Amino acid sequence: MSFTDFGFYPKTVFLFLVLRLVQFLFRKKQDVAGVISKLVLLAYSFYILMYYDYRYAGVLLAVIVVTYFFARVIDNNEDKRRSVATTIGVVLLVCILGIFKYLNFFATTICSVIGTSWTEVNIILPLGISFYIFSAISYLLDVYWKTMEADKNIINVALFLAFFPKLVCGPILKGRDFLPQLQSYRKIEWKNFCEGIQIFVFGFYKKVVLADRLGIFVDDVFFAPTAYNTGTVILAAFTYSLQIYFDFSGYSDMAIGISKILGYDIPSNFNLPYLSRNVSDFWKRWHISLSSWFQEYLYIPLGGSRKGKLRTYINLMLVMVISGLWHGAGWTFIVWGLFHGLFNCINKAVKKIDKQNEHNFLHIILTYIVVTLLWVIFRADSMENAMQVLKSMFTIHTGISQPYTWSFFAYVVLIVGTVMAYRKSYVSENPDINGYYPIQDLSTVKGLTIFFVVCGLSIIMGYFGETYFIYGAF
Amino acid sequence: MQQRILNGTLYILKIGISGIIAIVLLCVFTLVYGYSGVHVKNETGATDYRWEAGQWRNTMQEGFAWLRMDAFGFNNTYTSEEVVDILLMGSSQMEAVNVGASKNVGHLLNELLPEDTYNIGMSGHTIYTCVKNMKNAVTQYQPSEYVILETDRIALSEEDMNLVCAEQYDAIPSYDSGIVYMVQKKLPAIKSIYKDISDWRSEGLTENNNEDTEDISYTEEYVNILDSFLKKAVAPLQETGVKLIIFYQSHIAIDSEGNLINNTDETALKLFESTCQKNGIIFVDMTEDFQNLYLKEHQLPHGFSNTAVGKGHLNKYGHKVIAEKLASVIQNEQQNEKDGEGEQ
Repeated sequence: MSFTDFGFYPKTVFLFLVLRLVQFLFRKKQDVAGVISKLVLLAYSFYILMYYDYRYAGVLLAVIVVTYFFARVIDNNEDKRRSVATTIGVVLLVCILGIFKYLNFFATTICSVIGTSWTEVNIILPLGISFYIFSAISYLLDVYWKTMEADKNIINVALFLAFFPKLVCGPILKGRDFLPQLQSYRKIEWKNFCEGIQIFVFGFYKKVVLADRLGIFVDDVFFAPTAYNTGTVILAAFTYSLQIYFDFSGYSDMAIGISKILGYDIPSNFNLPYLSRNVSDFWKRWHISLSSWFQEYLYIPLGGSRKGKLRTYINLMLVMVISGLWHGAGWTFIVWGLFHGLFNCINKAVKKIDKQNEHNFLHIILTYIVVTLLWVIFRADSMENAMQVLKSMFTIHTGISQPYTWSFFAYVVLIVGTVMAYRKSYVSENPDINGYYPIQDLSTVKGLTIFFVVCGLSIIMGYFGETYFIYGAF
Repeated sequence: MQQRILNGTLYILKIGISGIIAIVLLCVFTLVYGYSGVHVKNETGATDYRWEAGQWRNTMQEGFAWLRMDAFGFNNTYTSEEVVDILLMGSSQMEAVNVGASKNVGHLLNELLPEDTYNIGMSGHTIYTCVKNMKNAVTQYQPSEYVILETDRIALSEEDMNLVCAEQYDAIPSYDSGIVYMVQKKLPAIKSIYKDISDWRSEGLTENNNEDTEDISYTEEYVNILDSFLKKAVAPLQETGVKLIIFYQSHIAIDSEGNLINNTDETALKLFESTCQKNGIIFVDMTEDFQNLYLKEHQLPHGFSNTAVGKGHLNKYGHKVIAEKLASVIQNEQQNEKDGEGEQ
């Protein structure tokens, strides 16, 4: 049950009412209210997961137990035992991810190299596994590095990993960001509710009006790229760059919004990514929780840029390939990661030259084009499909012409939103404004009217066919 | 306490006022983005319902078109319903509110042929409903030469055909009175939101299902029912000398290599064609013309620049091909008749 399923709404309203009731009944016993609220949230998170497949809950439960147990062992020991526990804990978590997500891919690849065949094992891919496993690994490493203490309360650890707003598509929460929020009772407050519901509705609009409409066109063209003329294939490639942005940032907004309503803060996952001046900059603005995870828990432990140029390039390539692989078990993701690694290395090499032209508009356009071309590989069903699309983009040929109007509309929304965010950031001298959220004061008629209109437009213009979240597959 | 009650009341009042303003604004938006107006019952029985006289129809959801229904609630540009040579019947494909008023089959036939064509295509009117209404339609419009009936399915449901033959096929209701009518008419945004939420609840199950994919066994019983069904369709015309043309507009698709796929059930097609022939109905299959449209002009007959390629309603290319094909069939028929008369 995702944010775009109709059934999600009555159930979540019910959850909200239950939490509000708890808040009212135990207004003089905050500790009790805190525990009950966490238990209710945990139960609801598991219910959401089990709605898809009850087995997913089993996998998440195993991850919670492993994480809790090893974090406590790490915290209670020193020196060698601490290292051994960390290693075993991380390896176990990686193994869980590996078995469910990569077993068939690696086994097939290895068998084809050695000339034998592999009969694919029918194995489930638990929803959100890549997100919560990475959260769990970061938690173990933070405890190991003594950045934080292990939480002694298993309910807190369970809720940190299972918290339903971020379960399907992240962001990847770090223990040190979220677990402290579970130490005290998080009340549902009017101010947070007003802000959260508006962020949620903006996310909903991005998803059902923009991303899902764009997806119709992208799916058509990527299914049969040779049937379309050159202009249409190029438009489809650029449209995918919009679709994936609106889809993923839409989900993130909805997750942030719901969390805020419930009294929790989830970090933002985007910072105007298509204003990036180079590919390295792009990774500071796109899926920030993943790129910061790789930076902190892989790139820097590997030596980062402190061990010479060659080692820096190797580290960058390695991180980006693993980042590609994180998205899915397939060659398209590996190649996509490789190219991003390559462009990161090029950027590192020419950084001095780049610095002089940091604000060049041309750099933004070129980066956007490069990122879009790489999205083609990411989106394609196979490398063959990717090559077909790329070939169709770069050879003049006839075919079906489809000047998809939603693509142009989405560009207008993106440009207007970006300009407004940039303006807001400029006016307030705050460089961290990461998107345009015209949050209204819901105590005024004007604010309420705008909010109701946005809600109405989302439903009137929305696409409510069979859809999915792109990052939900990872 | 009193202050809290007062604040609460004030806030509810604010919600009410802003809700009303928001609905007004959304209604204005809906008038441009997608306004369908209200169905009213058609007392003549030529169709189950029609649109209100002079009803504006606007769509930006599937295609882009802003048009106005004629004085009788149908999509016609310059023909009156008084003199009708050719009567065009069918579903929303013929109602054609997704293309400009001058780009639909009815209008194009008027341009291509000297005869006057009157289009009573109406959304939701499948071949079953059209056959059910055939007698009333012929009585009302008294076409002098042809009745053209559009269908996108030729593998038909035995149950529905039986109901039509037994005159027990239900008419589609229209909510043209009471509060539902007022809400639809005065508050189009509410209608639009209600429809979208209904679609959302059923999560895409309301999309058109291609009946050709249904598991239909072509037994002798099926053949007999189909025969009776088509006899029922042609019966009101037999004494008038007017000919019935049924044209089948199939949904063609493309595979991953860009080749055309025809999903039509060939057995059903042959059966339908032969049964039409047996009953003196002219059957026109548009499949080949649609294929040529793709192969020669890289266009598909269905779909718009704001929807999926090749899916949904007929676009201007589809309407044009159909009109040209029907005009050519009618001209050939007329020529054959003349030749026959000459020989006599």
